[in-house]
Amino acid sequence: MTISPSVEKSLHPASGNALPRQQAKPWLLASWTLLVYGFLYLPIAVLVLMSFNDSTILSLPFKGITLNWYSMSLGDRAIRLALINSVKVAAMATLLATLFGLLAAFAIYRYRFFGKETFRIALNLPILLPGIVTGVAMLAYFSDLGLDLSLWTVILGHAVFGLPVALGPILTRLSQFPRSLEEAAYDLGANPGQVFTGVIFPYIRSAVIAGALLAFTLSFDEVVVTIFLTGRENTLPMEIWGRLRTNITPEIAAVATLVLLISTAIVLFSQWLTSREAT
Amino acid sequence: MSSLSSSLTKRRSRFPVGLYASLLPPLVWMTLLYFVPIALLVSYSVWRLEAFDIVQEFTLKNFQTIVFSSAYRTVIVRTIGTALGVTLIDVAIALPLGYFITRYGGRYRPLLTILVILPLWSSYLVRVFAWKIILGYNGVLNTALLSLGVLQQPSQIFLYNQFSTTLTFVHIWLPFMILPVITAFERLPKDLIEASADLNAPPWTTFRRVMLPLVTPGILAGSINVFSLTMGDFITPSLVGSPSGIMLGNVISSQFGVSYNWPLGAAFSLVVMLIVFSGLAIVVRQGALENL
Amino acid sequence: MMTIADVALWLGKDDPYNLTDSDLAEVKEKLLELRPHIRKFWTTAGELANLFQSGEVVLAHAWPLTYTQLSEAEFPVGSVSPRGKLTGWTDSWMISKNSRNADAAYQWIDYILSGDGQKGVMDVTGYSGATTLGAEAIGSDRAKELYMDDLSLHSQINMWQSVKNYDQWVELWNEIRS
Repeated sequence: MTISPSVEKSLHPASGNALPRQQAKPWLLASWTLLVYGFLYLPIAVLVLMSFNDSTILSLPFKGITLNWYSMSLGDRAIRLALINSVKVAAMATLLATLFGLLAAFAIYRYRFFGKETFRIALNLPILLPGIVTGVAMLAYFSDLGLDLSLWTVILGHAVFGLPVALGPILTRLSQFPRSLEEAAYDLGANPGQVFTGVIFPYIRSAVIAGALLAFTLSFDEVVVTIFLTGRENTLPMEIWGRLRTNITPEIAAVATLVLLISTAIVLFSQWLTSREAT
Repeated sequence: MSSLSSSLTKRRSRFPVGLYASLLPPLVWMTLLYFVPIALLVSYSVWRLEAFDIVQEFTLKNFQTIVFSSAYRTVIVRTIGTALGVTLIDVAIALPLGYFITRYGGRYRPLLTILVILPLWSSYLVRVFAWKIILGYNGVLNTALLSLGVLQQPSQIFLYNQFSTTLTFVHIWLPFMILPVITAFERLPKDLIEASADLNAPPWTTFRRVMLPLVTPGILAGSINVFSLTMGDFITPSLVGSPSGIMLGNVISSQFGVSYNWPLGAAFSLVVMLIVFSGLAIVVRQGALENL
Repeated sequence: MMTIADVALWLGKDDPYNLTDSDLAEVKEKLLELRPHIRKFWTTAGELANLFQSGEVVLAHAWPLTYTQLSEAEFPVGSVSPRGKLTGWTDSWMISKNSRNADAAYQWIDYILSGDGQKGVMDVTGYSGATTLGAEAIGSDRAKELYMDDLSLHSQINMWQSVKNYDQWVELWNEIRS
């Protein structure tokens, strides 16, 4: 996954190599940056605003401030079940994806074997090809196998595109691993298992976490693959999708705002954790 | 393995347990869950539907349907055009931004990077829907333009057309472009830029002749992300798109849904795959593979 | 897809689900003529209600459900239906041939056909029912709202039938949408 190395880097402020600062004030670039951030956050600002709108429809005009949509969403059983399902699916899929991603990264880093380059690209296919391809292919496959669609099929779908997501940062980090450390460990009489758990893993741990976090994020909000693999139980995005089709109220905006708040807190917390670890 | 020292080479003669233990599980896992399904999808594309039953005999009927229908050709051209347009716009947005963040971000760089990822945590569906609230008839934009006196009455030209589709895509996928571009800028050796400046190259020349070639892999990696994500999406066109502006994703999802013609849907999926692979081939030839 | 049948009826075709190539060509021409006036093809009732409420559309080819939804939300709306040119469909319960418990399925279907069952479906979906038991269960006022006070109306509805040249319908529809 191309976005992974920077995620990893961003979690490691210490590893940054800042380009030389220049005296000239780049006003043009700075205002462009500001504009882009404005563009990125405009829809989010709108949805936060709408979540307080005292109106039954998710649209302007703004008819006054209410917290009703928040209290409604907190007491909404379907939303709560969907949220729990989403956490379950994302956790399970992330676990599988990270585990297999870690193994694959290790195989690629450590060994030479026939078709290694092909193997690496093939593992990346689920994120190189659009999600809809994964979705319909797995739908056809499960239907041919006579497997009923359920949260499990969703988990498998997410684990498939999660693998390359987790693989990316792990592989990047592994490629920076100083092999002399591994040699030293072997010279000191460590067995391969010990070398992995005692020397290699600590070095790549932050990348494993970064990859897992990214896989979790993408699974948690996934729509396109999920639509085709979902059974009777909804994940949160599927519940929102259903509501966008039946009853579009600001409650959805309130739910999205709450999720954003919680995840921002988690991200900042993990950021703080890793930065503390780095120092 | 050969680069390792003698203590490791001793192990080479033995059966490479480690290789099989680390290679086989992911290989088997992905084969059973992804490669076989993709192969199945390919075989579906050469089967056909007859009286709501899938007939498993080789036929090119689905591809004929696609090629000979002017409507489907329009959809293919529109999808590629939209995906290319969105990709180019995202590159244009991300390049100056990535340059600014890595060059002038200083200690705020990690924070600025996190701020790019953060929108991904608010529901994708709701973000798309938010554009409906912004661009709609009673939307934020119309309300603003009315109060500024630019418009006398709300305009319908902002929503449900190619413009709103493109704008929403540009917004939704922008983080997937910015992040690899930032990474690419971060990897730039700083002495190279200094050297260029020392040789009295103007900043623009330094950017164009020294930096651009070096960040191209990042740009290409981001482009493949954005292009592929746009090629397969059907949510955005169905929520904010033109009534006569469906894309390949819509066609595929309807063939696997209400229209119930899986073989034709599979053929369309194959078309999408071929288009993305062609894009990928260009990227691979440019040597951006390491960034994937 | 139903829109194709509706346009065919409007063009005076007798059987809107059995259209020849030339019938379909006529339908296509008519739809293309109407297309510039179309703001959005709605796919669900909720979406259509939102389109009205957010000011995007003022006129729609819709289900009775949307009219009910909008009136309940005190949105100023009226409805008309074309005499003798109605289309409709019924949602059905089917038992899978692989059903592990067909008896339970039959019991369920019996329940759904009862007054209580019908009332439950109508309360949740807002659709109208087609049985006298259902009409009784929801009471005469509600029955009138759901066009169930006179069930003979159903004989005038051209109920959806599986279409032989469905591929062509899909293609026509995609042409309108592309």
